[in-house]
Amino acid sequence: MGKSSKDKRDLYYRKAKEEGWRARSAFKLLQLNDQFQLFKGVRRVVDLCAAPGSWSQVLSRELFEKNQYTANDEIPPKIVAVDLQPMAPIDGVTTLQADITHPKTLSKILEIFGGEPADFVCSDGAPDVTGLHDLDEYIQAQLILAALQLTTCLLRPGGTFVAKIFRGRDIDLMYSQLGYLFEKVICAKPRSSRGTSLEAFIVCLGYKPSSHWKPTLDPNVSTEDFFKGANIGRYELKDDLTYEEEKRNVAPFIACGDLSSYDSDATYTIESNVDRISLDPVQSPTAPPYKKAIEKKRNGEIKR
Amino acid sequence: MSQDTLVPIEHHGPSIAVKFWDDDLLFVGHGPILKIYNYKTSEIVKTIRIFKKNKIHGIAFDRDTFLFYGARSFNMLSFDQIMEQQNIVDNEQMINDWIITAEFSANGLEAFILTAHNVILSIDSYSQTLQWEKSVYGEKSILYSGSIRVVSKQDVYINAGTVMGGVVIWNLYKEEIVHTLLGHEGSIFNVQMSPSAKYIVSCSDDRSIKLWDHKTGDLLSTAWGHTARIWNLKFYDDEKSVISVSEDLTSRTWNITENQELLPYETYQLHSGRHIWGLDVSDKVKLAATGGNDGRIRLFSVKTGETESYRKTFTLEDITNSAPDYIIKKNEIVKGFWKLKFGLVIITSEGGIFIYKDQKWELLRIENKFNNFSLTNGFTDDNIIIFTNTKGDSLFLKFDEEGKIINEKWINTEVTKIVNALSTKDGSNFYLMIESPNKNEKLVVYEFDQNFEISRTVFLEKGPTFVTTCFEVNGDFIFAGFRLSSLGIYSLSTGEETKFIKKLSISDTVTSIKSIKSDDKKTLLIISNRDGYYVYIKFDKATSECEFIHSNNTRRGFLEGSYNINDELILFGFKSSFFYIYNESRDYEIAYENCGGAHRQWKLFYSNESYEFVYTRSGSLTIREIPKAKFDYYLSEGTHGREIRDISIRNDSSKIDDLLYITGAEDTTLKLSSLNSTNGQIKNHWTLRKHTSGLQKVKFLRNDLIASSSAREEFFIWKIDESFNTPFIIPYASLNPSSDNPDLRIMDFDHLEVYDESGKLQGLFLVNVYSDSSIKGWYFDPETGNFTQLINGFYKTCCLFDVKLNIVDNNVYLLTGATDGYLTLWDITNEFSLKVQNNKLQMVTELKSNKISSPISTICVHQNGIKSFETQLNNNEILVATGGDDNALAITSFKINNSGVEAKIYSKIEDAASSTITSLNILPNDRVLVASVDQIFRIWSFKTGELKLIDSKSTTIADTGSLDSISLEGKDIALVGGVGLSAWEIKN
Repeated sequence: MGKSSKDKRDLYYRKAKEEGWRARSAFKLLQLNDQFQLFKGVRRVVDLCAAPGSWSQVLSRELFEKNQYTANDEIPPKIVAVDLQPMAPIDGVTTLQADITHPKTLSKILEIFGGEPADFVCSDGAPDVTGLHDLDEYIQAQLILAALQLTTCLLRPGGTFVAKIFRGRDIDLMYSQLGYLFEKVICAKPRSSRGTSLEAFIVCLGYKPSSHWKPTLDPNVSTEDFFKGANIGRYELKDDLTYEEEKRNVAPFIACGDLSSYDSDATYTIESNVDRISLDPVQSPTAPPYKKAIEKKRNGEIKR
Repeated sequence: MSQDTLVPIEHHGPSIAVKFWDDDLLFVGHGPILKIYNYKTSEIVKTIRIFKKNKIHGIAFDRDTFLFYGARSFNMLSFDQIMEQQNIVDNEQMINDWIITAEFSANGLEAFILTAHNVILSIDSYSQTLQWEKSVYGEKSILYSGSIRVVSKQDVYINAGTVMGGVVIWNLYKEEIVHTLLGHEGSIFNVQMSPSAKYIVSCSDDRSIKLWDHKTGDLLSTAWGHTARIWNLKFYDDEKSVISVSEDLTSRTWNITENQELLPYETYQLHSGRHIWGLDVSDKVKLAATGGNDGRIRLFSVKTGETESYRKTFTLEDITNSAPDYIIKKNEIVKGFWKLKFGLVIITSEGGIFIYKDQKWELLRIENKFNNFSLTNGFTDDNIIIFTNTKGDSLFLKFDEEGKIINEKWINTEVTKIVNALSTKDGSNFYLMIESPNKNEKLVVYEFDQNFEISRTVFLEKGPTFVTTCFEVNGDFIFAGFRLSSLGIYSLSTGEETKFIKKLSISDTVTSIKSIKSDDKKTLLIISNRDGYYVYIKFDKATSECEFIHSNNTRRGFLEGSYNINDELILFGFKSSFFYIYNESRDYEIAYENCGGAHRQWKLFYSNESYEFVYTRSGSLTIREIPKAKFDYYLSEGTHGREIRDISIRNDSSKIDDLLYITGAEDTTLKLSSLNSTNGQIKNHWTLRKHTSGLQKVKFLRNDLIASSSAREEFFIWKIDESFNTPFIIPYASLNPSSDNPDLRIMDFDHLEVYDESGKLQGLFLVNVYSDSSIKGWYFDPETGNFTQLINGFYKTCCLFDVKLNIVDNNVYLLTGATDGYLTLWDITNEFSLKVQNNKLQMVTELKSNKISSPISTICVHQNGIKSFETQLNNNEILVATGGDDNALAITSFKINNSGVEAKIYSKIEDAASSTITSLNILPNDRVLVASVDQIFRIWSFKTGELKLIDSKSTTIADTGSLDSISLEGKDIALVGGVGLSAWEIKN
């Protein structure tokens, strides 16, 4: 989040800064929770692709403060946040700078959980968008599958998985495949997510893997091979390479956050006295890979 | 479900794959469709669908066998199959992963496919079955890019670009890593190995290009230049050069020096919108081809040194060396020049006149009268040049074809001093205008013929801003442009001013005036202004009325002038240190020259379809020739290159092969274009750059009026003029935003016609809905362009998405749809000042503004945003078709009777699409066309009250966001927009 740009137009953006969230996406998880009671009875949580950490902040506040966890409880809640990027610490959250596809990451999480499975895994991760819609959808699906790989090695039966999706051409393929692993798959759109954006969240309730399938993380096994045997309807390589339409499903759609909550598409009039004050971002944006190219352009080294 | 109600006619969309084949063919993937162009003739040799849904991302070939690939699909075909066979899609095959790239083996017996998990699959070319898989142990991380270099039968290298910043080079048969090249930041977007395996080049999110030594793995050089991500790279010119394409819309060439340094060479501005994806280069014909997100295919010459061969630079010594006796004085410079048919004539600041002909300089004479100061004018095709000094002496020279003077004449103008001299021609008459800085001295215009016989001398009153910057003569009219953007029109016979227009643009100088079409009654003028603005004026010779029929802002630095060539507008000017020539009608750059900027002597000449740009820089004179391109500048017309947010087709069934339509896109521009509804071909007329934010809506209000809305509270009315071959369009009226720093988006608008008492159409009642939930209505007077506010209202604190006006039983109803999923109906009949008579709005003498009260009915139809709706009137019932962000499609009825309004959802399909429904259109016979982001185009019937799917077809347009349809005799035609545009016929 930057300092001023979107302050005026986006109410959630400003509210996030006021309430100390690292990103406006915190409200998305809060609204998803209002709808699905995601945190009820949850003790062990994994937040994947967690940086800058707004979902971990929500988890921390909800599991420790709201649930009034006291020292008398036998086991405190455990929250693990994983990202490739470094993350500023958050109370009650163990942060891991690690690759979610690596088996070591899995064993570290399990170690923190004392060998117990997770109740809830979430991912608000999104890959960089190229503009080639089909490639972007593929990469997005790969990211979800990577999160799902780890999830299947961690999640207790009956547990919940929530991930960010972009509703494009092949999203029904993803719905269908998740439908083999969970009791219920719902496409949810919190009101804090703009109606003009294709972003939504897939809420997978009641994990129910096939009893014959033993998921194992191995860096030399591709996602395609990993899910072989899970029978989730993915196309498997055949010698004759025939074209085949895979099964597609439309997941039920639920808009969440009640109608009285702020509308992320609307323009609000902010009281004139606070209008021009720009709040500092809770956490500064990270340096992009093209920082040097921008400097060169600014110095006139790149002319045309 | 009856088959084929929806029949695709044509597809215009991004091109990711281009490939040269044979001597004259270019294979191009436009989505799933292959087009084969003969680029020498610009003809399309073949159009054929290769994949059912997936897009063609790449093309490989071995002799006459082709492998097309995209997403997880591939299709291996012979040239004969492509040309002859029907239903080629039946041959489509697939693998279990995304295909990064593919190549044939050295003997062509197998093809290698690289997957996104760094695995190579071998496909037998004959049986088209999988033979084996190979990979490197532990290297299955996901790839963004990669290439395969087949050096020989045994030596095959896989160049893999990972997401995490590294390039992995591995040997296919050894299944061993050769190098892991580290140094880039961010994902690797392309990596290539040179044909002999000497070099590797790569690019990444860091926007640099790195050159590596294949043998050692050493980084040799890092080159910078692109201002956004680089998507594709290729070696050419025997491994001495590299070519790149980028998100920044440029293609750049780079040379590898003897010291193995990678240095920038040329930059080509090629596409519009955003992204160039496809790239191929042919060493054989020295051409590169690019495919853009805008769907254009561009061709350009990449012969190293070619531009230099067209550029000649001379110092004053080079010029005067031809005359050994000529002594260059201190501070002597080239003062002026003009291109004549045989060559170039120049004058120095000491009056030395030289000609450049057949690559040689020659001293013509020394005229001491032109010491220190001279102005140069001329007429290229007539071999005439005129020099004028500050004292009022003008030397007229006429040459023969060989460059020998055949006539000369001195004319003296009686003024105290001369600051400016300008020339122009009308038919066989030549004109020279002389200007004095003394305000009391009139502008002098000489009319003369080939033999310098003066037929007229006219004295003009100067404009109040004076300093004439350009002039044009047409018939009895002189059009003069001045500083401070003003235009004076004078009678040639009397010298009297007939018209003076101040403020053509905000400020700056009028740089050119050209009369491009003329008859006895009117003339069409194109006027350019230095600030980038240009305007077309229709001038009535009888009344001297000036009608502005087209204007636009180039947003491209200083605009210096224009040409009208084959009915296309060619503009030229300066942007920073570059001079550019731009085809404005078709929106592409023709050429550029790094001349150091505008502050120097320069002149652009055009003749015989080639340009010559002459300029001075640091004491030298440069002649840059720009010959006519060997082949067309582009092979396919294309669209915006960004998401098309709205489309409106003009309802004019008299022109089925030339349907005017307009599109508004994320790139903030509108494009006015024509569609041939039979073959689906399009022609873009203008790209309009008045909006400063992404478009929301654009609609035809009348055959000659269009309205468009966007964020920053922009709302413009445009007027179309079709008195010439090309339709012209001008911003005609605009609504003032409600605050100084507008941040509201105008989400939608609708209109009704307003008549006078005799039933004559008078104006329009327009209603806008805003992102802050407000509703505002106006009376728009098309004669004056004035808006008078009639209503204002407010829904509730959420964003309104749509609005429609309907008249039922002499009552006026306003219907809105919002982000909360509710349809809401207002009865505004008694709440605004217009009358209703026979179900038509009627004008009243006094217009007032009223606040509208509460709605009379509201109903929740969708869970969240109603993305699109349309209404249909059935007697006293308003039927509303709605499409939601919640994937649902519904038909809702508002039945209006004496007791009130009864709102009811007739039919609703919750999962009418697997993603957001973005646009819909009601067709005759109770049918509704629906476009959604799942890229499936559907048609439903609601004849029985229940929604029933009639047909669905996958569209090739990603981010499908807009659609419009038109009913022509016997058929309906629809245009679906997103990233690209597709044309459909809808059968009954």
